[in-house]
Amino acid sequence: MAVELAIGNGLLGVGAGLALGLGAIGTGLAQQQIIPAVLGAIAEDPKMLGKGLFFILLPETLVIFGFAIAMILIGKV
Amino acid sequence: MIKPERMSKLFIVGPKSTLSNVVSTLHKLKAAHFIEHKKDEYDLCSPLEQLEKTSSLLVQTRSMITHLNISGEVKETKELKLDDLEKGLTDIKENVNKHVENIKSKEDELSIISEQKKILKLLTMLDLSPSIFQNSGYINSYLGYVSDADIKEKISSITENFEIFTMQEDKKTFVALFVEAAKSEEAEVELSNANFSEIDTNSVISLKGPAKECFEGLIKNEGKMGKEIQAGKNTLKELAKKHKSYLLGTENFLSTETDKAQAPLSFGSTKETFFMSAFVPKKDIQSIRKQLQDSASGNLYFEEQKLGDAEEIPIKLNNKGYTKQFEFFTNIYSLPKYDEFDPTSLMAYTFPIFMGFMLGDVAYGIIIAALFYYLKKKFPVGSNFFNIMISAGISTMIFGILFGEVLGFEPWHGLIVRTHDFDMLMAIAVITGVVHVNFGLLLGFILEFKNHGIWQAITHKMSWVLIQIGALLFIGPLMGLVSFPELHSEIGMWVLLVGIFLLYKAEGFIGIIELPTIISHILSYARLMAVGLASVFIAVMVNQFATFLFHKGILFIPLALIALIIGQTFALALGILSPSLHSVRLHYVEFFTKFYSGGGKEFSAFGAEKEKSIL
Repeated sequence: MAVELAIGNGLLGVGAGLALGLGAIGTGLAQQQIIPAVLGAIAEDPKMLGKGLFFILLPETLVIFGFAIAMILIGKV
Repeated sequence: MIKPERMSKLFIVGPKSTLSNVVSTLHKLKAAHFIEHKKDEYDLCSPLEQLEKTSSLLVQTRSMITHLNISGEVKETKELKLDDLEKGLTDIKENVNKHVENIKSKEDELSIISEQKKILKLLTMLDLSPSIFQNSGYINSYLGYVSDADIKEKISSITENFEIFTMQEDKKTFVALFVEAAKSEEAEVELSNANFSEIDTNSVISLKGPAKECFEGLIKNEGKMGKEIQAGKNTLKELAKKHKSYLLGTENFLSTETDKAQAPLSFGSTKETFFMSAFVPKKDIQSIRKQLQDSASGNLYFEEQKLGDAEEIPIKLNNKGYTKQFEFFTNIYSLPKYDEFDPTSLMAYTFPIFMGFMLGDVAYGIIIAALFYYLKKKFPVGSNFFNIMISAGISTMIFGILFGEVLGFEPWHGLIVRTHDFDMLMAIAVITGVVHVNFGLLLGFILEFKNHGIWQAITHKMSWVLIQIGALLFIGPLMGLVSFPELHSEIGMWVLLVGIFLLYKAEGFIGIIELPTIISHILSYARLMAVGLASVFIAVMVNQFATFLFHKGILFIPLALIALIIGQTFALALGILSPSLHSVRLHYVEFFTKFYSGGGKEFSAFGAEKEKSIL
């Protein structure tokens, strides 16, 4: 019984790690293309900074969700 | 305050004799945004007479300011007379140009000397005199590098009448070749086969004596030139000091006068009259009319016209006191349209609260407030942004007290202990999201209602609220998040369906695709918890590491201190960057999209200086 619980806890831990890690990879992949484009746009016209920031931060939602899920899972351990 | 400054469109007609006075008054008032007159049956008005003179003097003044390397601000603009200016400027110009040209010619000579020195240095190595490279008609001379070390043999196969001096230098051979003119063409072929790269000796052939002596003479000469240039530059510096305030004042006066002289180019005209239209702030219109009328001795005709298309009306943000500095955020996003809300004041309170909630640490708050206070004193240009960060610092401090956190340590037990109460933090974050997003929807509802009527308001904005309520009542219990009696679940389903139907009516199929965004937008506020926790845990980890070192023994104490300082600086840097960006993002992405599209163009009053910004 104790072993089963430990395995369950372990899986929850792995799940939390995957949620955060995959979220972070997704964010990174998206930002990798957005940031150079935004920097280019800002170089052309500094007024693009606000809109640029908007687009840069857009995919960060993924890692935030990952983090939230990870926290919920860790709470169940 | 919640709306941009209300505008009026003023149409003015007057006799051309009053034009100059009217323009001067408009410039002084700094309250009119001109609407360009496009050439139709009425011509464009011609600029004021003085334009040619002021712009030419302005160019001269600016060129002198550049020559003298003057920079600075003018405190007050004096009224000056153009004729006096012309005389004063000519005197200064002659004096300055004399010195500038003198320096320039000396610098040219210096660059020739440095060229000569290079060649002489090479000739010294071969022990040759520079004058032997003079063209004699019987002998041709070549100086340069070849890649072939056997050049001597090759030349000797062409003729016997030659003299060659060589020296090996790395992989190349430095060579001076003198060959009879009759065989020079063949010699040139050999040289080019050996990848000859020639050094031009023209600049040194006039020098007499052996290369070494010439070289020394040049160095003496060079020192003398350098001193003379320095003396010239010092004189320019003195001139700059002497004329600084005069030139800056003149530049300021002339650019103002040039602006004034050009202003009528935006007006229309008939033979004897001019006419113009401009946007002016509604609240100032009476005083503007009165002052203009006074300046034209009562000869002007005014008409207040319909404002027309909202897109055309320039935007002057109208915030005062504390909220004023937050116009910084509105400016970098996009100015509101005339019929939209100005989100500045809405952001002024939530931005520091969000950032404070995320960072929440007494010490960080104090450091941020102090740091940005210092920066504000040091760089007044960015004071708007720095003020925002100071208020964020204070908010961080207050939340730090609530959370009981100082540099990641917990000296007292706060209302919420962030390292443990995850669920509580999550709940607060999501509830904040629900309130903030729905507040945005409410603002959107009001705007839609005002601009497009109740049906549009219900389908475009109310539908989202219904979807949220329906989802909570219907899907919430299914997922086990909340529990309601059976009945609510059924009501929830219907509310949800009505919401979706209304949304479909408003946005079509795209609306259905966008359905999940409402959830993602609300859950996005989880970053209030997530970014905050990340910042806490970084600080906690740094502290744990430092404490670990601290207990290792007395030798490790300095190391522990260094680790603590570096780690905490890193945590603070992240703590400034990340929470502020995420707080801005929550406004730009989740909040603004509910009621704000922006795209208004800036109100640029004639005569007003452009506000300087750190961007």
